[in-house]
Amino acid sequence: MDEQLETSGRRNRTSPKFLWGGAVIFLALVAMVFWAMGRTGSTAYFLKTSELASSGPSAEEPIRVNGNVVEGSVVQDGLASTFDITDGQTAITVTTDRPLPDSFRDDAQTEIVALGVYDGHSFAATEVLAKCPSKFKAKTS
Amino acid sequence: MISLAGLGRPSLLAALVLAFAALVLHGLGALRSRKDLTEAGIRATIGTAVFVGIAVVSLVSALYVHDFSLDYVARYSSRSLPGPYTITALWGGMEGSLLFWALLLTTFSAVALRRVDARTTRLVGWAGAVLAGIALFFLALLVMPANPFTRLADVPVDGAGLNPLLQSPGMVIHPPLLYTGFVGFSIPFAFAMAALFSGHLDDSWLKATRRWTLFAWSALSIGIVLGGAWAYTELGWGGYWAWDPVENASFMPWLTATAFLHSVVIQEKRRMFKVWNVVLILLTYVLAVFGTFLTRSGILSSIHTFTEGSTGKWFLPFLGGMLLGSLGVVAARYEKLRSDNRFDSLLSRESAFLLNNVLFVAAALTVLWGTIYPIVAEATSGVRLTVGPPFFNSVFIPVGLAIVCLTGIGPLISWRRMSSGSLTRIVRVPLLAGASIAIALAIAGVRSTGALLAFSLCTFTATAIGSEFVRGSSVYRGPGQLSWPAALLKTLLRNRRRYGGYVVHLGVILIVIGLSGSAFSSERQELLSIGESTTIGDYTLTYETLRQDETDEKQINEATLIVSRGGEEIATMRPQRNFHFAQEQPQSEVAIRTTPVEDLYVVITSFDQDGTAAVRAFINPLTWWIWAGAAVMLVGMGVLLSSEKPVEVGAPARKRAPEKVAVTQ
Repeated sequence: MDEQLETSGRRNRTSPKFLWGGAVIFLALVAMVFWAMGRTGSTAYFLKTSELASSGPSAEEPIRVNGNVVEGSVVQDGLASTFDITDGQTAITVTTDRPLPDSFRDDAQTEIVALGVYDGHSFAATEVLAKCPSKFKAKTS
Repeated sequence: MISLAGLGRPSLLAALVLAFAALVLHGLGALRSRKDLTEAGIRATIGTAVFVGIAVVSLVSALYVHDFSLDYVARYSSRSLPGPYTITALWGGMEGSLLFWALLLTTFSAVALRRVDARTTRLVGWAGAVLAGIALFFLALLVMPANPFTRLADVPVDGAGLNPLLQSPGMVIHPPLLYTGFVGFSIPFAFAMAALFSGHLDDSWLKATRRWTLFAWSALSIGIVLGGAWAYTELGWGGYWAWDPVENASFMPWLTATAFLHSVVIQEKRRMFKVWNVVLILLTYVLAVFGTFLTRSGILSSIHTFTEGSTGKWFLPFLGGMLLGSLGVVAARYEKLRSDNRFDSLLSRESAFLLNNVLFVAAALTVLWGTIYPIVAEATSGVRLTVGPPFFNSVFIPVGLAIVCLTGIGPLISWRRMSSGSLTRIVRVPLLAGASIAIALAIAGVRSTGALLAFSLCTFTATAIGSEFVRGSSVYRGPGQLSWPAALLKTLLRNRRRYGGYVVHLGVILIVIGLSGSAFSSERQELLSIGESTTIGDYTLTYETLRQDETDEKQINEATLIVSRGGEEIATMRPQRNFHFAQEQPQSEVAIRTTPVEDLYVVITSFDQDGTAAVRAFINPLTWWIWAGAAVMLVGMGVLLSSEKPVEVGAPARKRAPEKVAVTQ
């Protein structure tokens, strides 16, 4: 091979100290990723309301729950709001003092994802996101 | 102006045919080393670009004249949409953004391929074939599952309008810049593949595409920062980066591209890392296409995604094929990609570059892991979960600080080997500066170890960069010679690649300082009736009046807040909470008072009937430095991009290694 002719006499082996150094750095980074995955809040279970209801209270780790808003259930009192969400089987009451997202509406079309803890009765959310489904429909009238 | 929508689909079909022709012509031209076929392929590529251009013009004209007989126009624009945002609607939806992708790709291809001479026929031919193949994929998407020219049977009287969040100046330039970055990497990727196919394995492909790489990287960098600025000023949650899957999608190729920009220097100077460089650009491009796929497929939910799944099953085979195919070619050429040199010493510039690469690639893989882990977990164990910012921050703070430190030390270390004594001599002043900042801040009451470390490392690196400029310009500083500013400017302009790079580094350091400020953010929520006040930090906010107004597009509610500090009135802020008619949705407009010390950020999350406002206020220290750092980076990028004239393909090879060109052809 032509390239080898050019560099003949110098087999290009990387010296062991580089391999060891590289391996140590690589393993350290992998270990760091695992450590980070295990930290509180790094991962959160993502459940439907019926799964949440059957799994019971989750005081320790925050979890995410999603469902559609139960129409007419939204009560706002100052900064606090309370509303029910359901996956069609079980409804769960969500309470939060965080602002609701702009696309949040009191109708069954609004699907939300809440992050927080569940005490067995209601879900105390520290973050509420709304998915906006088909409402960007053109007006045909 | 009339709607040219009728031209759209025929142009796309013509472009598809021409892209196929380009693929065949380039492929044959490369296989048989026929210059005439390669040149014909380039003409076909130019033709593809022209027809895609016509399709774009026809969609823009339809958007402009509100031709709601097109489904796309009806979904992403409306009569009340302000004029400039009509263009934004071009990338407001999936089909339009894929069309825009195709436009950039074919235009860049046509521009990049223009130069052919006999020596590089095969390199250009293969690059043209790769680019035509990619164009073919995107055009097939546009002709079949993502047709932007689908007609509606019932023509609506008005469209649904553009998401109000996208109606902001940032959104006019953020997506095109990201796309320019993503698509720009097509060129170095195609030439890297061409180098493997053709056997031109010297660094002529690197030199031919260096400006493209820098250009794409610069566009992506600025695009990411603008995305952060948009999130900060529009989304109203007080931050600029949330590790959202779509943000991650743009960040991953940026990380690998940054590694690539650095490791090519090693190949140029020391002719090492050849396999690594090919793999890096390959990874960057696959991640860029993956980013487009993530945003466009609806596979991950995020505020950005368009939940339209039909293109997903097209992207995955394309991505998989591209990754496996190119890795296969790398494996086949592995022997010829052997390094011409080897590491001499652990303490050398080469090692510093290698460590830089390890850190950047590890960072990219970490983001990838966090982004796709929910999919992996659900597929393997059926558990649905999400990965949040704490994961990413836990990895990025140490890795980021290591990179900052390396940014300072790397350029001070000499090539091949260096004695630890001479390194100690050089880093003495920067170390002293970093340590004194840490001590000063600790005395001033800063207790967060992470922040102390961050500020002290940033000072260390900024001082190291400064000392490089001083060393470089000292030659112009004799008696009767240049003044300091003139000497510094001359230094910068005389060696633009080196000192332009340092300016970019300086910008990054300023950004890291700004990011570190977020460790000291504070937040407050309060219900305020007209006339009431609240305090955050040492600011007092008094809710003075509520102004209500109405336009065609929205109903405006604007609160006037008087900001005072120490009894003295310092600012008036006017956050809004508006109701957009087309979307039947409220939207908050943030008010920000920004200073280099800290931002006061106020958003109103709801108004009651009686005018009572739910006010959310944030103090974000040092955020200003992020935008300032980005401006400094932009200056550095300008210097870098102006550093050399476009390189003729093959010309450098003639200078550097003529015997090799003869051999490989």
